Amino acid sequence: MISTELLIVGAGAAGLSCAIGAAREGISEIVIADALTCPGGILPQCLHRGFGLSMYGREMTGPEFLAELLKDMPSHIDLQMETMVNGISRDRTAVLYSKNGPEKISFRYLIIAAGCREKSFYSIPVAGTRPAGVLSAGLAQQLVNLKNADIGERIVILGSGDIGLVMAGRFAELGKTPVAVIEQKEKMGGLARNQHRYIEANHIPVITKATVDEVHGYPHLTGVTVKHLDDGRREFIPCDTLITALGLIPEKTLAAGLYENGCAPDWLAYSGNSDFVHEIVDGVVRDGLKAGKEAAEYLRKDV
Amino acid sequence: MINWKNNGSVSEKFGTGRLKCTGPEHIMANTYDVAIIGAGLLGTFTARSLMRCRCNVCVIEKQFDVCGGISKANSAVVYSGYDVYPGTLKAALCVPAAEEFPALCEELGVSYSRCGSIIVCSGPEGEASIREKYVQGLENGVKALKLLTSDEVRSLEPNISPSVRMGMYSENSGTADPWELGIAAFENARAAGAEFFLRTEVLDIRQRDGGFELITDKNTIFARCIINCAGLFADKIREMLFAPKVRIMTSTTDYAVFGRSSRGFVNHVIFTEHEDRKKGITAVPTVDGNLLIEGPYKNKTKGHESICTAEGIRELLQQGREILPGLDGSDVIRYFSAVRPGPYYTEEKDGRFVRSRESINSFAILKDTGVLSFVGIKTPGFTCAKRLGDLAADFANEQLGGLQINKDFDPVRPAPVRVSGMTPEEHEALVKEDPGYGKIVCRCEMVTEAEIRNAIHAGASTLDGIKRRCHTSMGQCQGDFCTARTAEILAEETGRSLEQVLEECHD
Repeated sequence: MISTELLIVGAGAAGLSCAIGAAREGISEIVIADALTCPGGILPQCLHRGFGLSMYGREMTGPEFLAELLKDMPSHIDLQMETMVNGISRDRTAVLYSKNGPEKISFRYLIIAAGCREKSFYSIPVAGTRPAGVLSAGLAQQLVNLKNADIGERIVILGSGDIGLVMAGRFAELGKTPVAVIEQKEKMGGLARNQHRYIEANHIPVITKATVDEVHGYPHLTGVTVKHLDDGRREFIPCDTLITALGLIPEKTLAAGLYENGCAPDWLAYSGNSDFVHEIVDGVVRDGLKAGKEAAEYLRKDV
Repeated sequence: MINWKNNGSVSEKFGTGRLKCTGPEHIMANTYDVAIIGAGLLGTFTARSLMRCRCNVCVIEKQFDVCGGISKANSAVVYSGYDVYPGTLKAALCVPAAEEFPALCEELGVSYSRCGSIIVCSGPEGEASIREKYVQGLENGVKALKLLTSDEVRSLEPNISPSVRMGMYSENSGTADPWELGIAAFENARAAGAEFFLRTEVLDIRQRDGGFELITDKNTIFARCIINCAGLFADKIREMLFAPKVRIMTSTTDYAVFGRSSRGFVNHVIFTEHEDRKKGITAVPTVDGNLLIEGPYKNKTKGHESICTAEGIRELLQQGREILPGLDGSDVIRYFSAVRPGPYYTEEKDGRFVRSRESINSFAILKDTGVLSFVGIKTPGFTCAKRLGDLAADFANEQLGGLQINKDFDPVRPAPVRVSGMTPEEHEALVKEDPGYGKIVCRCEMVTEAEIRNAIHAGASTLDGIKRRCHTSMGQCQGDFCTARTAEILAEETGRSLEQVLEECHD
């Protein structure tokens, strides 16, 4: 069994900031575990600009922002990639799963900085087939930006949160046809700069007060039925790809078993999007630094 | 050997030479004692049963993988047999099949939960129907049936509505892994020498001296006997040779899978009996610890696709909440639909064949000279898969004039390695053997890279095939975190591009 003072789950913007914050307060034993091969969480797949404006005063891409963040990482932090944390127990131990096999780790303080997951499309009551060509925005971004996959030509985007807008813009940039962005609210969502940059600049049609309530085609998607929520009108839109951006859910399941009578142990904290969904990454970093500092304060008291 | 579009390293990896997927360059006349058309549950179990004899068997499947048609979506419930009419083939097969199901799963390394079932009702008509089923069950020889009072039902299932009137418990019911059963039969039959031609579609069949000529899109096969297990297309296949007798009309049923937070929400398979005597919802505590609700709504369809309907889903949730008031729709991780073949007898009217009555009470199995056709096998087809396979094998044996027993047949198929649920010590030993068992790809279901590669080596050639064999993307995130990596591994193993793998994710 290995032991550490602080165990951080997730090496994204939040987890890295927590580690930096705790290290600045003099914590020497810090382990970050992350299931991916490279640190940064989703930052490496975010090739669009818009990161760091409030922290660094300039707009960077995800990888550029990550590079800035990594400059602040003290070398003594034990960053364990391709390592999944599971089996977190109330006796302050957990199991690290990696290619070296399962290894038990004991810790004194735990920060879950595992980001969030997207609400999956088929978890809502959508009619029709279950064809190829329907992808969540995050998965599509990973495939397109990290794996250079060509996933479709005529693309409908469901959900106008920032990730939906960013992906619509990305497809336009790649010479694809973003057929429409569908939004159930009265107005397009997301940050004003993203609306302008990705949607308006590319003249992508936005259909508000509408949703996709049926998918067609098998084995591959041939189109979707868009339902207008004000008058119930339904309209078929041919497309070969549907990108769903239905909203983000903070990842809290890892520590679900730790609660007793609804109370979390005092040595557990959430940071970044595992805590709540942040609008911008700068906010994630600021909260992460603070969570790291609080961890250090706890560790100083808990001797 | 597998012959992909971009033929690469995969041929060596499939090495056994038994899994065949011929390309156009392999056109040749292959001769077999028995050709099985369709590699769903019935096709794979027929092949396995035939391996108990000495004979050459091939299975022709038009899809990329086995069990990709009707067999790919169902509630995986094992019925004890009180539901079927006494004296029918269904009754004769279902009751012993349910009794021997745990042993079959053991033999084939398939997860099985002998959780028992409870059928409940809320009104007098439902009660009358359940009492009739109790008597029917006794007549069919179903063991361990017990009528339950409302209180008894509620003590066994605290989440059932207090409005429940009474119920009946049946011990010999349970639920298995819905995909593993057919996949296990496929692997077992293949290991014993059955040849599988995947991605091969039968276009026509002609009577020939001493047998049949099957013309496929890849080759021509000669067989002395045919077992038609073509599922939704079994009527069409049969009519390549004979006049119509039974035609298939498809219908769909919707399903909802609830996440792991639903573990323990019900402890038995729950059936509901309505006042109009129509079947209500079925709630299944799956072998993976999820809750599966099968809807009551039957939606007649024209095509062969599984299509969810808004009505079906609405009805599922509404009826689900009537019997299980705590059911929370926001815990659903996936809605999907399953397609069912309804067998209808046909009669000739003015030179055309029209459907008449539906064959409900017994399985529609048509025997013609040299050809046995399973036309429209539905509930309890999953329970009876092995017995139906045996029945087909007996038919072939008879047609071929008595085959020799294959003393070398080994009915055991080892269960695939699953890291999830292992002790750390077991896992550690495995990682020493292959570090791939330490690389977790699917975080929700804890599936490792080595398990994915094993599944591909065992015959999975699509993302769906991998999903069914090792449960990737079946958890909370529904594949958002693991699909890219799984697709990459599949592309690498099969020499295809990432795009191709994503495009051909289904069977």
